[in-house]
Amino acid sequence: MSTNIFTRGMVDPERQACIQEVVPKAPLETKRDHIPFAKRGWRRLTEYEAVMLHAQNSLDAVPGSQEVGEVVQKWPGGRPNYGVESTAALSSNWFHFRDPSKRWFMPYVKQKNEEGQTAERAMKSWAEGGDAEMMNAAWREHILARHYGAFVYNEYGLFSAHSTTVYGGLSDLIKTWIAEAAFDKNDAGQMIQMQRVLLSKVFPGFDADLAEAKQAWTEDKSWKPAREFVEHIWAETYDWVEQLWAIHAVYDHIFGQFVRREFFQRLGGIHGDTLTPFIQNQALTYHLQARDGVTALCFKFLIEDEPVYAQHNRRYLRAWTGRYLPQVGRALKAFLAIYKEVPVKIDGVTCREGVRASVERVVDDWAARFAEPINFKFNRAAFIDDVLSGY
Amino acid sequence: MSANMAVKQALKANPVPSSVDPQEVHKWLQDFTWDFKGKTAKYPTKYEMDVNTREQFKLTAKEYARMESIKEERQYGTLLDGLDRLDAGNKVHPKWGEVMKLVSNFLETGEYGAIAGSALLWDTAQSPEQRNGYLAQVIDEIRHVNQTAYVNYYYGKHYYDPAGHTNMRQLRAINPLYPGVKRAFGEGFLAGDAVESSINLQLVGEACFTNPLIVSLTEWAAANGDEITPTVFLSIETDELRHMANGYQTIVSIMNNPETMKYLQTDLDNAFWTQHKFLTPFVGVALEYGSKYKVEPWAKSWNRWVYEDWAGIWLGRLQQFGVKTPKCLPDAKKDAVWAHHDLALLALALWPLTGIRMELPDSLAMEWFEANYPGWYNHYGKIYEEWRAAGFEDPKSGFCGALWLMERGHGIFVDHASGLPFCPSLAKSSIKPRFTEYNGKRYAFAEPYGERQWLLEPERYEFQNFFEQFEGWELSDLVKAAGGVRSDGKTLIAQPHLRDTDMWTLDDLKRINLTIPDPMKILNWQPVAQ
Ligand SMILES: [Fe+2]
Ligand SMILES: [Fe+2]
Repeated sequence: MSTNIFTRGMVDPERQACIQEVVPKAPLETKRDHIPFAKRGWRRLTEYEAVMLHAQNSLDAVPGSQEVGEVVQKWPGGRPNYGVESTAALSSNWFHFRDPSKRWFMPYVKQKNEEGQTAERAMKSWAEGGDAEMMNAAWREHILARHYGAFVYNEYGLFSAHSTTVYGGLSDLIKTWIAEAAFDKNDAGQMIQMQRVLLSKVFPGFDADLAEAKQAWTEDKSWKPAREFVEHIWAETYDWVEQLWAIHAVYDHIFGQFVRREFFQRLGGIHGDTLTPFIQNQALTYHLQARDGVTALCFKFLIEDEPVYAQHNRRYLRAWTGRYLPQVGRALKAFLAIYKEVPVKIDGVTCREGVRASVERVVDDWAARFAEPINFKFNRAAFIDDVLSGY
Repeated sequence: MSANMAVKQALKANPVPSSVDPQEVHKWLQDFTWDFKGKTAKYPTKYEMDVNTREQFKLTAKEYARMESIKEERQYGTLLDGLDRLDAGNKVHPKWGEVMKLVSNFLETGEYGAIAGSALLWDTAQSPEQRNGYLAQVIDEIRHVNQTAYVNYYYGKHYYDPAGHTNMRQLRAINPLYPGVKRAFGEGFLAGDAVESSINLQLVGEACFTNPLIVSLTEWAAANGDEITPTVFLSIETDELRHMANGYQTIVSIMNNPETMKYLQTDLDNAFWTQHKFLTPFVGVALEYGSKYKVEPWAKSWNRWVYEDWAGIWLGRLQQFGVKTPKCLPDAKKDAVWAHHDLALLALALWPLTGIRMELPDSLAMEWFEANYPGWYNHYGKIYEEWRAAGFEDPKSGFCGALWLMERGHGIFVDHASGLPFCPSLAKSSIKPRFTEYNGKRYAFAEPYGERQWLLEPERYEFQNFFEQFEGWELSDLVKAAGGVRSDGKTLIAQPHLRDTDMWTLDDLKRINLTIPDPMKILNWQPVAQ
């Protein structure tokens, strides 16, 4: 907007000649390692670290911070931003966390853009290539319209729960990972609705409106315990590590995995629905990245690499698991009632034994990945039996 | 062009049933939420944010990623392909290449604060569309941290003096200017009521200062041989329209409750003053003192963008909600002429703590300053000439501007509201210093607007300032502790000139024999008659 005509110093020969006169003959410094003070061991910092690590300005009360003293402006009442009291977990250096996917902004949006384009193509070929007609009508009109729609609320609620975890996250690379996991949740909810909009275009009888789905989420018994978990973690849980652990390492790795993979993906297949498995596959990928992130945060960072507080953190993780596992069990148990409404029944898949195998798959994977490393003991047989009593 | 439009319109009228436009998904967002017992924000606001507020840009996550990845590709392509080949890092005038060590890093702090500030709004807002918009801003601000950081990173790899570009995230801990950024951006964007944060971040920081900052910065950069900064910052700017809209929607969402709307004017006045107190002097110093080749004087750009454009047109749009121009605007306008010259004097006086190489204005620069800021020479120019003659640049001189000032009774104090240093007896900007005692502690304030913020909520501004933190430290020890030494183990990263000869070392700094004092203790702590 400025009307100034100015000379560009890089390309103007006269100006560049003057600049070169004051540019030193040799570089004034030979070391070009970025943020050298943050180096651990021999390894150079990666680009992922260079563009974010230690960007956070925080006082030395947050271990690992570069600054001394205090923040200048605080909350009314005197609470500082980035306060260690935001979680019961303790770390000797909050800046040691790394997201195993090493996602800074550029690779993150690049990947999501590719997923978006793949989804667009998949939807197009599904709608135009004849796949659409294979879909079981009752599955579509009942399960996808009502229950798949209800899952929008699950994703949206979990996304909402992440706001304060982004705020509370105690270092730059932690905040980055959480914000990306949250964005993925928001995306997952929107993709379900995108699919429902497409269904409404291809099948005139299908309504993209969410009223029925919302009714299922807020009123159906089969969603009630799940909804209660989401509401609790969104509005009532204040510890951000507890939230992340409960969402990604407990709830989503049991209930979420079951609903997405064992139910919608697997049963979509037997109902001639090739679209839902595709869309849910992206959500599964997001969960796997979140799973790896929460593993890195809670195990590698807060326990394995933590020299002082590992035992303390392990105790908290155990306690949090004990706090949320029963509710997650109730959520899954209630959800199994949906099998009664499934239009196509196939032996070995939708029968009790088939469902048991699905539940076991999910629970065993969870136990190996998240319970055993912290010595969390639970009665596997009783847990699974109780869940199956909802079938 | 028009054929394209026709196709677009036809598609809109008869959408291909095999694809879904992002807008068709976005229009359902408001239905994504549900009511439940106990549903409140964890960070509640004193305002009331309407659950039915809409958002203007209507992006879905996937559509967002599509747009942003195109921008990223372009930007990094230019940097890593185009500019690398042109050896852009070595075409920058050193004055500018040095000041970018500070500018990029300080703005990074702002982008970082904006992540948490937007997350706060995402928590507090009840409307799903608004939350979706604030979330996009959270992710944008991560982008901007990466980008501002990338400027330092790129310079660190390609510029002839990487020191400081590589480690400003450490050096800034002892920079007396840094608490100013922390106050305005690092905390002003996020430590407080979400709506107050939104006003600081979006309504003032972004809607008011983004344009003068980015437009001016990129022009001055290019004039001084830097094409790296424009490549990155013009790309950042493309996200800012959405952020300004977020700020506007924040106000729209609270306007229905007249009970709470009464806070708005006070919050706006405070936010404007808070942001102005840092941005106006800092940007002015960077542009005019960090450049060899001058563009438009900062006071002029400021007047056009802040005074006419923002205060006139932008705030005009908010008149319907009863919002008036901040009362402090005339004083801010005066500051835009002189505050950066005041701050430059202190930055030069305290050069060893800045982490960059700086030089006193040469005769050409002095002429330009006097021509554009009549009266400049008599006030500042003469001091600089005296400093030069006393050995400002000479490593063997033992000279230090800060000592020179103190010996003449010109105390340097930290303004307890903005966190920035000021010199009451030499300032030409709109200051009205006040020195006061509260609970046994002494406080200095540069002017009443800041002091009033502190008086109303002293517990929010309880901090130890630079002098209190480092009192008793010998200067060279402090610089060493903060990583301010080059890889030879003795030469300083910061320098009071731009040459590759006669560079100052730790020993030269020791020769100054300066132990950080607390001026509130050693000088007459009420130097201005009350
Ligand atoms: Fe930004
Ligand atoms: Fe922004």
